[in-house]
Amino acid sequence: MGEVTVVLVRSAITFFNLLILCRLLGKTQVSQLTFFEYVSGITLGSLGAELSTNLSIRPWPIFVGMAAWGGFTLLTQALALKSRWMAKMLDGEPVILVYKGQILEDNMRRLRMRESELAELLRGQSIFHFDEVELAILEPRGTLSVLRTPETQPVTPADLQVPVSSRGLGIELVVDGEVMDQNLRRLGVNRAWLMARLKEQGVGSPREAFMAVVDAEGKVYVDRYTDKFPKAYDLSDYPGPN
Amino acid sequence: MKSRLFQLIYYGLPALFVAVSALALNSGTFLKRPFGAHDDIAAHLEQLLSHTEEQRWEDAGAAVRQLGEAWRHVRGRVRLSSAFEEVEAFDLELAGLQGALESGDASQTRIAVRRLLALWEDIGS
Repeated sequence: MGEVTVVLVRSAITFFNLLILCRLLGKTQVSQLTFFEYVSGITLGSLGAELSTNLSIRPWPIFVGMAAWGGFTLLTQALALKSRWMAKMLDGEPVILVYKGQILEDNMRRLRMRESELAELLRGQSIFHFDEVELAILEPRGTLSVLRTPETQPVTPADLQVPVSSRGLGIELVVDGEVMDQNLRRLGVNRAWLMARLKEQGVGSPREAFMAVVDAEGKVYVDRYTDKFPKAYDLSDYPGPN
Repeated sequence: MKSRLFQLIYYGLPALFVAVSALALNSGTFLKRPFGAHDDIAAHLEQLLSHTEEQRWEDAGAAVRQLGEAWRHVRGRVRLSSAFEEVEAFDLELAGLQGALESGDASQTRIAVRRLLALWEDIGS
């Protein structure tokens, strides 16, 4: 058995065993992992790479190491499910970062978090001013949950007691300049109809549109290739590479 | 019936694959055992040791050739479960033994045989 054959066999063993292990460990998305679960995943990947290609090490101890990391991860998951105390120990707890518009600096320091990181997370929730926040909580998996102040919470049709209809699912008419004929057929329309809708939006040809979507009410949204963006909205606020 | 078969495949196939992987990665333990007289490394080494201790150098030379032939058979079988360096070390010690025998160096020959015995004990175990 030559070196290449050994690497091929080891790689096949590693690939399918990692696949089995990952399926056992669950379907959690990377963004929902705790920091430790993330590190554990990287360690498993690193062990897999060693098992696959490092011919200087006997493969069995690495295989045992991989199984042990997977087993311990499963064990901690099971413990966290069984006991709230263990869940708190293993995953941590939510931390309040903003209360009635005031940043809680002690909690920020405890998490070694900068104000710019908090601002970034808030912007991700369409909040651009701290005084619009009633409560902001950093969850153990790194996401920020925000409760807006009552006066900045959006009014819903239910508040106004206005009857509304659903816009339904947007159906793509043009993607990257290409007409989606299959979708036109599903809607019972043709290219002439599409051209008329595009013309209404000032678009002469589908090739000028990056995307065109129609909703259930027949409203057409068009995104053109030519974008206009004001310089005043440049987010960089100090010199350095951008 | 169908769902039972599906369950069997769903759980049984991965479990079987893990078991086969564990077996393959430990295959050296049983694949280093001889399938016949032609690939019995341990017997050849013991024979070689006895020839060198009794200074029968011609017999020792023939035993080294047989040992080399046996190693050629076993080498591929233990590659998967061994470290690359272990297999290389056996190759080099075998070459050193041939050199020591050709130059008629009795003490180096004995050292090389003892080293090969120690290496053989570790390979695949």
